[in-house]
Amino acid sequence: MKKFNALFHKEWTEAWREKKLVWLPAVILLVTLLQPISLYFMPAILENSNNLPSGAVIELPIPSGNEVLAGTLSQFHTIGTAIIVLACMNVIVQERNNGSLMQLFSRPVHTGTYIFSKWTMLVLLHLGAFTISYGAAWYYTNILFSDVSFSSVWKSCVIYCLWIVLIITVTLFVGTFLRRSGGVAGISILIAASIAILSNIVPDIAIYLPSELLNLSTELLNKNDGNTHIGAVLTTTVVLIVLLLLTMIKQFEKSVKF
Amino acid sequence: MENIVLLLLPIIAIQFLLLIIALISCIRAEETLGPKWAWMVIIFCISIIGPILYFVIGQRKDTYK
Amino acid sequence: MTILKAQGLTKRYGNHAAVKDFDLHLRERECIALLGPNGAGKTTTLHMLAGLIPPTAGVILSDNKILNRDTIGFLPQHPAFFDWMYPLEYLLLAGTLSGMTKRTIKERSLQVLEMTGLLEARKQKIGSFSGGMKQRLGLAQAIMHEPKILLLDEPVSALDPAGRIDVMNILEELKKDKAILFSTHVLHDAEQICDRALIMKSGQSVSYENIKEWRGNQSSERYRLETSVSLPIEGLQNLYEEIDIREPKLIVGTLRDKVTPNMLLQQCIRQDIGIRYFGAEEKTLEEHYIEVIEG
Repeated sequence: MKKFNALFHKEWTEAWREKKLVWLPAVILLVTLLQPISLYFMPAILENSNNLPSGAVIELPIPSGNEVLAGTLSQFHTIGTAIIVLACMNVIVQERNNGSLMQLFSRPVHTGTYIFSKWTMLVLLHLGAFTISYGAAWYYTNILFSDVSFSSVWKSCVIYCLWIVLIITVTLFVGTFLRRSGGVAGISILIAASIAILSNIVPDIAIYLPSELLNLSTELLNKNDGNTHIGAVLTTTVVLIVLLLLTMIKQFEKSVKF
Repeated sequence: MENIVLLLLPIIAIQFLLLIIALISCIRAEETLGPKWAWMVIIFCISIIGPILYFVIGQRKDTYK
Repeated sequence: MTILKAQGLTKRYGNHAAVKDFDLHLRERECIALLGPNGAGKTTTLHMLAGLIPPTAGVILSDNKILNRDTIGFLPQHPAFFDWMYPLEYLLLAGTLSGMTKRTIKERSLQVLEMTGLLEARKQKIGSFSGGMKQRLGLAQAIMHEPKILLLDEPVSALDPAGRIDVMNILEELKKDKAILFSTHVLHDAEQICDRALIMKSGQSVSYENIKEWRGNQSSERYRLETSVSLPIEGLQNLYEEIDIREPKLIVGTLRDKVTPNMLLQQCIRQDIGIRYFGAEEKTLEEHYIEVIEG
């Protein structure tokens, strides 16, 4: 435990010195806030654009608060996922390539401790940033559109957080196999995309796939009642995360440490 | 109108913060991937994306020394 | 007492054996140099001993027990740190990972920085360190937890001459209470501080030298003669038992049985040959090393 704490502390200090602790929450906040605000200004923007025939009246239905927040989530799903992958791609690769990893492992450190210290820190950082941003988006939505109940917001937030954890885990997992951060980012995004494509190709198993997490959390916003297949997705996602973590530790121990 | 400015203020503030931190970090960095001045231009000219690009790619030092 | 013992250590990568049947007995307070050309398997051997890579075959023991990693201090060939850290922070991390308590770490880290001459640099980030400073910090982290055994992978090859002397002095100091095994290309250094030298060639140890003994055992002394004009070899052949003609003006060799050095000098004076240098020459480790590697 002492060793875990030392490594965990090291991760936070590093994130602070390299300013990840600032830029990552800031970027996530921007991405989530942009949706409610741009939707709010959409009518004004369209009115001011010149390529409309004069006299044309635009009647845009004002979206409900639920729809706006759901839109925020879908927007985050594309841009946010990419940002998370970019933020995590360097994490193991860099230390392995410059040799500091080898020096660290000349001491009695278990690979599990090392990986978990990184994983825990990344998960906390991203979930913290996302929760704050989502809360801010909720606040804006309530002011600019209609009220959304807190109970549906926090449920959707928790469900979606699982997707974020999965993406972090996948990126770390790929990072234990490859030595180039660009490759790590590419493969991780490819995996995330192929999950979505798979759910389109084989709709039968779609309810078991982690990509269903987005649908679930937006549904929770709109309906505010429990979904019947919520257990299926949660189970597969959690199992997948655990499996990835265990394989990663095993694999890391075996061959790619150096 | 005042309302709108108030709404946008946090966004502008965050964007500004991002820009400043990226610039300071770039200036103080021992070395960057590629020329430093190019990164400064990127950070300054492409809003939001520029600083992100710098933090993710420009800052890294995984070369074997 | 053997503090680090390796028997039949072997490492294969596919069909290629990087290290084959390597034996080692490192006694307490003993210093052994690991010599050999590039690719001889020195680094692989050290990595196996440090527990970084598992050997394909063979055992590593300490006092006939399985080696405890806490008793080993390891310095890799290219020490790498986290550039954003300060030296004390790294030592704190290293010490904690080696199971030291916070209070001992505080005292000890200042002590090792002092030993390695980095005390003034403790306010600098490691990223701004020069190569030599990083090497010394690498040494500091290796001795941080007071290990009984030090494994050093080319501790001096990346240093300038002044830095090399510094590090060698530190090693001399450490030798008093630690067993040291280090690989090096600088044979002179090995000769200076080591008790024994182990020469490796393509994954095997080919020669185990006890430097001190071997020095004392040199039965026939060799004399080196340098002159300002080319030497008439024929006349000298009666005096030298064995001659190694390096250049026309420089020869090294052992004298014949009843020939004294003075006789050699007299011969030169008689022939009016200007002498620039004359003296007894010890066979250096370097010469021996080349003989072993090429032979």
